[in-house]
Parts: sequence; structure tokens; C-alpha cells
Amino acid sequence: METKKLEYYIKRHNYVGISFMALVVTIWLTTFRKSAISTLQIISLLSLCFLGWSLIHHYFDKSLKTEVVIEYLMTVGLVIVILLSFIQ
Amino acid sequence: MNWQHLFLPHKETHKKAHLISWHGLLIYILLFMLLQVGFSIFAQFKPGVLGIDARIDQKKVIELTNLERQKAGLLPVTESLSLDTAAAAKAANMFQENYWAHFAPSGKTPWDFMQGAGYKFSYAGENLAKNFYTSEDVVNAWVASPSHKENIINSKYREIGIAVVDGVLNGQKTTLVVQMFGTTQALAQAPTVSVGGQKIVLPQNENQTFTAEAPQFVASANTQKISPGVVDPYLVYKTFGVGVLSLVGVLLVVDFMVLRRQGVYRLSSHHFANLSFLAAGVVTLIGMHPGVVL
Repeated sequence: METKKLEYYIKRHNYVGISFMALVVTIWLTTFRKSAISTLQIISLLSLCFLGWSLIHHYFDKSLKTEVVIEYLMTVGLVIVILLSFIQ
Repeated sequence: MNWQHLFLPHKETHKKAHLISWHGLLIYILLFMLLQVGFSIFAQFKPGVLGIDARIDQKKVIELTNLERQKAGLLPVTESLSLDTAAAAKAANMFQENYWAHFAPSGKTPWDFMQGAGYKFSYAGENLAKNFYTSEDVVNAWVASPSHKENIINSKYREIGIAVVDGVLNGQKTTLVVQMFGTTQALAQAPTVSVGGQKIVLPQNENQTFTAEAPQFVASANTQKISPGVVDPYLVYKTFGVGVLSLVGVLLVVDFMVLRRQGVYRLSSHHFANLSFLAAGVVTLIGMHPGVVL
């Protein structure tokens, strides 16, 4: 891949990542410790956003492979399993 | 296997470090599940060893409750010994019958305990809490729940009874907080109770013809509870969870920096997205407490 194109990809990659980061922070700040929304709902919402966003992004990046999907699923699974121990 | 590959991306293939590959993540998930299963089995074989070392004070709960009423422009509720006794009996019954609900499996209702303690009410309500560490945590959780807050700031209530009782519930040492509200003034309408915010109107004669035997009390209701030597499973979950998520986060940062220095672009790695999701998980985990209200 030529250097300019590579630099463009890296920049786009980072901008998209940072915009997702902003989305996560916004969702978290507007929902956590709000009485009507449970922690499980917040984490489910964040997980869906994370998985949906990664699926779309990697699809357009042409990098959507089974291993990539499994990696995202494992990350979500890890966070959910840890947080579920608190929810009785 | 080179130990460096556990923490750093592969020099030639640029593959992720083993500890943040999907295999590594799967191992963390399995370890965590094993820990949870281990704790629940242990709780069955050694009841009372796992649990929470709570420091909840009955007087403080009443004080904080009245503070909330004051904020709402209401008169404070005064402590009723009959309601204290009823709350203690309710808590003792919950441990005895091993349940977490307003209504006992044997059919006992919150108002059975009130009437059993000789408290004739026109209005009554009940809030429950378990697994909280401090009095502030308990009242804050009730206030955060609209239905429980409704009980706290109900202008019809004049009296309050609180029980803070330690016992073993589902194999774990648990501190139950039972908060009962009531009004003894005789009103024309049928007696009304509110359990966790849910209103129930009792038949007129139920309150008057109650003949059930007063429950036996097995716990005192007004002392500070501190039981040393208890293993707090939630603290273990939190420590282990924050540790694992932080480790994955740190290794992702290392991965990002190494790839950047090597000038490598890996399509499958989205460091910012992963890091932000993990950070949300860590912050949520730190802010979580095992307490539940009913």
C-alpha cells in the first residue's frame, strides 16, 4: 500500500475510533446511576453499540473476518461476565 | 513460546500479544466464571463465610430518612418501638425461611408482622435493602428508586421502624435492612399498605380481626453490625475484574504504541474503540455496589 493511502487509512481509523469513544462516554454519562436505567441495560446498550459499530466499520474496511468478530465478542463477553457477578 | 509474545505484538507477523488475543480473553472469561461457580458452591458448603461486612446504623437510617422528608417539606417520622419490633421480626423471618421478598413463602405478609407486634395501622409501608455497606448507601438506593422514595416521602406516614439484622441468606452472610412506615390514626377508609411502593388496600376487617401469633424474635434490631473475618465475594469480583480489564487495556496501549513505532497498520485492531469500551466497563465496575432494594 502506498504511504499516502496508508496514512489516510490510519487517520480515518483513528478518527472513527475517537468518535466511537465520544459515543461511549456520552452514553455512559447520560445513563449511569440514573434510577430508571439499570446497569445491565447500560452495558447491553454499550455492547450493542460496540458490536454494531465494529461490524459496520470492519465491513466497509473489508477486514471483517471470523477472528475479528470473535475478538470483539470476547471483549464484550468479558465485560458482561465481570459485571454480571454484581447483578443479582 | 517466547514470553515476550505474551505482552508484545509479534515482531514478524505483527499479531496481537497472546494476553489480548481472543484466546486470552476466553481464558479470562472462563476463569471469572469458575470463580463465580466456586464461590456459589463454597457458600452452600460453608454458609456464612462469604458475605458483606456492613456498617449500618439504625438511628442513622432514621436520620437520613427524615432528612429526605425534610427536603420534600414533610414532617419527620418518629420511631415506633412496635414498628421496630415488627421490622426485626420480618428480618428474622426472612433469614428463617430464606427468602428475599415482601411476602414470605409461608404466606406471611408485611402487615402480619406489624399486627403481630401490636401495631394497628391505617397506612403502612415497607422498604427492604440488603448487601449495602453503609447507612448512606441504603437510603441513597431507596431514594434513587421512585417507588421506594414514594414511601419515604409519603405525607400519610407518621411513624417509622427500622431493623438492621445480620444473618445467612442463600449461604452468604447478609445484612438485611427492613424499614417500616405506619400511621396509627384511625381513618374512615380501609387500611392501605405500600410494599416497595406497590399499594395494596386491605379489607376493612383484616386489620381488625388479626389473631396471628406474634412472631418470635431471634435478632436484635438496633445495634451496629460488624462481623470480622468475612470474605467479601463482591470485593474479590471487583478487584479481579478491574485487574483483568486494566491489564487488557494496558496491553492494548502497548500494542498501539509498538505498531505505531514500527509503522504497521493492522486493520483488525481498533484500539480506541476497544479501550473506550473497556474503560466504560472499568468505571461502571468501580461505581457498582452489590446492594439491592425491594
